[in-house]
Amino acid sequence: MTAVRARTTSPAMAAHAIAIGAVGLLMLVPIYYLMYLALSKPGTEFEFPPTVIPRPVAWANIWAAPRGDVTPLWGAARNSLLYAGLATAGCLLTQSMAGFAFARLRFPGRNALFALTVAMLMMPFVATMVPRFLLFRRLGMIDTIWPLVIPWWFGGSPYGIFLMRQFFLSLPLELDEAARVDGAGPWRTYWSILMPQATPILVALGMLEFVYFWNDLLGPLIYVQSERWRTLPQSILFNFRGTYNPQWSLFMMSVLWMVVPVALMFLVLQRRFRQGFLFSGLGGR
Amino acid sequence: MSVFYLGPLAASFAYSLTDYPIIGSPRFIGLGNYRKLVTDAQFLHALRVTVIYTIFSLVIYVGIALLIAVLCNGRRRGIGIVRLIVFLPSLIPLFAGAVLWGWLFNRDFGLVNYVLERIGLPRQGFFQDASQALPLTIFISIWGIGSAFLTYLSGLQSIPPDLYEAITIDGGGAMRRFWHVTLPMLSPVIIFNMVIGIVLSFQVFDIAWVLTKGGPANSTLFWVLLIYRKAFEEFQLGYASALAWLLFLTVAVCTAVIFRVSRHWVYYASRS
Repeated sequence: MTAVRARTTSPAMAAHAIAIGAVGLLMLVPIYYLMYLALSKPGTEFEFPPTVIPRPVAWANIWAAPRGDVTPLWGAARNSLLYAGLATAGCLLTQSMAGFAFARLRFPGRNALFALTVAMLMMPFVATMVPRFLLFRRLGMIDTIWPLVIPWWFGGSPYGIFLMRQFFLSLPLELDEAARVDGAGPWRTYWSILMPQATPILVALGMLEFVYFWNDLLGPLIYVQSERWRTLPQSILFNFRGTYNPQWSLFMMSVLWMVVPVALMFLVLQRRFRQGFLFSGLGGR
Repeated sequence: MSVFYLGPLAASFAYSLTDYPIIGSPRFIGLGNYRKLVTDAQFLHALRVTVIYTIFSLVIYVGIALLIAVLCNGRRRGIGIVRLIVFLPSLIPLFAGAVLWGWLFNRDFGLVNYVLERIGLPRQGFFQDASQALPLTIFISIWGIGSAFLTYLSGLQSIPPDLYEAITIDGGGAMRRFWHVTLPMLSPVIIFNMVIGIVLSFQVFDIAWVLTKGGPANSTLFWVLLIYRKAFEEFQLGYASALAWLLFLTVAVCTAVIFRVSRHWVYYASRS
């Protein structure tokens, strides 16, 4: 791609740069406003007329927000990390297995099962909320984060299964055949041949699911009450509601504290979008 | 896993055949609710609003996200930052994001109106204006393309570079590379995002619930908002279940059609 791009003419490159710039500006609006509010002095968030940079810039908010009025955010950050990390790991492992089975193995009822998986996409989460809650109450796991983690180790989400299936379908079958000739079974083909090819898609899917769990508010609200297991979004709302005089700037600063680590993680991981083209020499396509 | 999904599905179908005011017990009325649906002006309105939203937000989620991903696919300096910027709005949790969007477009103290006024343009009603609320809801869905963007980006990275080189050697330009290599090689991801986009946009709820509650003048009364109203404000559980079931069927049929048609345009290397 790079080699190809380098040869394009300069008007095309200029158009490309302008298009990227316009998209970037549009996408920066929400984060700019978030930072603007987060750095406003409490009580001056909506001063009129607004300035480009809040006046004065309330740097003190940066440390005031995570201290929290009700719950300090550090313990909550640990819980959120545990929840998002373990749930994402479970998702990636089981979704890639299920996706592999749907794409590469032949078994009776495969198409019906896949149709069922896609149908599950269309079921709103609320419909499954109650039976799930009753199950985990019976297991005595209420008021911990485990009910939020364990289901993801049993099949992940239909979204991820579907995406992994699409990815595995787009790899040439020659890979499996070569592996079979070398005496590899399905497990080995899955883990040693196909999974290394899947790095870009696993990174993308892992990012999306991590962000989903990291930001999830409804799940923790259902299962967790006590401070010991409270997650970040929960604690931020508790801090906010707990005060007599809601301070939007501190609320937005807390949200900014949630966004920054994930943004940094993205910056590091997006380099992994590249993969080694192990199969690019295979002919016939 | 299926028990958690199929149980409620069956239950809601059973309820959809009844007249079930929340106090009192369900009374079987056969297809009565479904018959009522066909002539219910409010439902037909919600259907129209939802279909308009779905069509346009699908263009954004499937089409515009693809173009942006292609723009961000090169290996040039600073591209990591650009990718991050495109993904940033998706990192903001909805409970904060919805508040932010609402304030940005607030009629009285919103930043957007302030900027419009400064550059000499008239102030707008935005979410408080019945003719603008739906287009604006569609427009801000661009801040939700992060998931489509990332899946496209990873799909683009999996296209072997020698395919592009072959086209360039044949003298093809950027358009031909896009049309003959990018689109077919990416088609498994495109159909994936189509299905996800259909499911998401037919079920749009949270953002409208926070920003407009279906108003003004029902201009953003989406299908799921109507279900919510019928069930939890007007307490017609039977009718709400029929609405939910029809929604499920509609999305299922759309998805089935996409899969059926996909045989003609989706390219799977494993099936060639």
